[in-house]
Amino acid sequence: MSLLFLCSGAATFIMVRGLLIHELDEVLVDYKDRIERYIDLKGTLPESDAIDETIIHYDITAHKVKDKFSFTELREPDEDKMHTFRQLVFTKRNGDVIYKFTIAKPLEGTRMLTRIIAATTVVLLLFVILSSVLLNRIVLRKIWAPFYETIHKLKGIKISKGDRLTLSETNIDEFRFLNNTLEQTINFAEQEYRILKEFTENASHEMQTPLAIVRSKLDLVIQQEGLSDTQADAIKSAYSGITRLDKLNRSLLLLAKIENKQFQETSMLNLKTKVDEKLEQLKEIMQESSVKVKSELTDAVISCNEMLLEILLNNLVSNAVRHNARDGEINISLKPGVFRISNTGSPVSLDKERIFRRFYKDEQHSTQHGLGLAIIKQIAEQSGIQVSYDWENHQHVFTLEWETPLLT
Amino acid sequence: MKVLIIEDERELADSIITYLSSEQFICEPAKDFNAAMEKIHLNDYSCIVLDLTLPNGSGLDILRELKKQQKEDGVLIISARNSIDDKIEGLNLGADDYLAKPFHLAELGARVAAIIRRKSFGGQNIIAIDHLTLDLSDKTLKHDGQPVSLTRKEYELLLYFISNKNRVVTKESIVEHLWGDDIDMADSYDFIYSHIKNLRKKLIQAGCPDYIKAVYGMGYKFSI
Repeated sequence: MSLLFLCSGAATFIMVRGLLIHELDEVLVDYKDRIERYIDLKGTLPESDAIDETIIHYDITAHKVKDKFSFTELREPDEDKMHTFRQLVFTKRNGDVIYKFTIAKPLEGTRMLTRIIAATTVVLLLFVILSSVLLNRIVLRKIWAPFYETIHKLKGIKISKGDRLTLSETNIDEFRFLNNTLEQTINFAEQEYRILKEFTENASHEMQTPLAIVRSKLDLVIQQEGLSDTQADAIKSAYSGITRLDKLNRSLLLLAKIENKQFQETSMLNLKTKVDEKLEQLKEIMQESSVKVKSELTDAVISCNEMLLEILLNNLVSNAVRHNARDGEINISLKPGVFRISNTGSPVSLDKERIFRRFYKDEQHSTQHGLGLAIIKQIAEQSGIQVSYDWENHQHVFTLEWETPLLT
Repeated sequence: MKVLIIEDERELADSIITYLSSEQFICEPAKDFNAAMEKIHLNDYSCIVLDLTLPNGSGLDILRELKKQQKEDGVLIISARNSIDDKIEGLNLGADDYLAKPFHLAELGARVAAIIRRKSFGGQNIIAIDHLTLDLSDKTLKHDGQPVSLTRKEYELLLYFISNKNRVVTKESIVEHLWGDDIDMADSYDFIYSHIKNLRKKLIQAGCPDYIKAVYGMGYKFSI
């Protein structure tokens, strides 16, 4: 914008100046014509007019020259100052003598004019440019307001949270078209997402009956007397396969249900009681694998869905037992707002980035389905609990943090 | 004693009937809503095993009908819809218990046996089998009148075996029954071995025959 402004300013200046010099040249030519006519008529040279600011010189010269315009610095007769003049040099024969005339007119007048015209133009231009910029800003802001509002709303949309896009009405056709299209697209995506989520739940449901049939048939087969060891081994493998499939299916179903927000009911729970119950439930299993449990529990209130909290604790504690070393240890500490469970186990840190992802497995051939931690993460997210994993003092540490609810 | 199996999956219904049928139980199948309604109007059952999703109707409506007619039949709901809402609604409508598919037949056997005990013997709390007497109210065991001290888990284990007597019971189903089905220790079921060993030892010391036999690879069988 400023470049355009500079260029147009300079252009105006040069054009006006050229125009005025052209005008001056015409005046000089006019003078020349008058001098030539005077000489032709009277045969003498004209008296120079002292009042006019035009300066006329003549000398005798040997030969004719062509007319020539030029700029020159001359002393103003009245003032003692050098000024720029426009001069015309031409020759004229009077009888046998050739005279060389020099007519000069000061540029002073034209320069002033040029400056005034240029200044006026520049000020006007500046005004026009500034006002157009200002107007543009105001008008554009008003016109594009619906667009920016749409962008802002679009940024806040999370399909996984089930948000719906509702855009305000606008009377600009293009934006109305944009908003309508966006609403349709987002709502369509949301619908697709919901169908996908329901698919997991439905698929898991549908798998339960065939699983029930297979398991019940295996339950019947093992009742038969006189199975050979090979048959028994095969049935045993099939049985544990079904058990794994069942657990995987149940976990997928649970994840789908948490995602579909089917566990919204919350209550105030004392986590200490829940942890004590869980440790009591797992007592025999821990004794069997000679894992030592050290716990430091104080009362801690949490607002959570009871069933989800039990699953969360179950997964955390069972993980600590299952992935423990022989004669290893588990440390549990509970303070208001913070629950920490750490266990000995594999001597390297787990992948912090991927650990909470679905089907993450530390060892590739583990019989675990790798959904335990994903479930923990999902429950924590749903319940406003922060869950994190650390590797400290050669122990795997899982920490839950939450805001203690105000008791009413 | 008659047990009605209302289940539309024929294969599953067959398995349940085969497993539950014994000299004590006579099982009848009902494959859809209408057949089930007809049977509950005609007969009284000690226990009804009820699937919630049926052709032509909902299992919950059958439950409502039973209550309307003030029938005393015990009801065990089995459902693929492993949701708490169903469970709560079913139990509120007067069902006695709820079991999510897929289940172990031994678990089903134990639940059916428990319902029948509660319903058919007027809430009688004693199970007498061979030389053993179990008192369900104070969870004690007597052998020929002599008390045998059992831990809580050993008692529950024995009750589970008795409810599935003469049947092979898998380790998996024992673990799920005693520690809950959310227990995620699939790698090893060996930890139940010590409980079974102790129970056997106590029974033998009290002078019982060795009721509990290990079945290769599978689990255990309580034989009388």
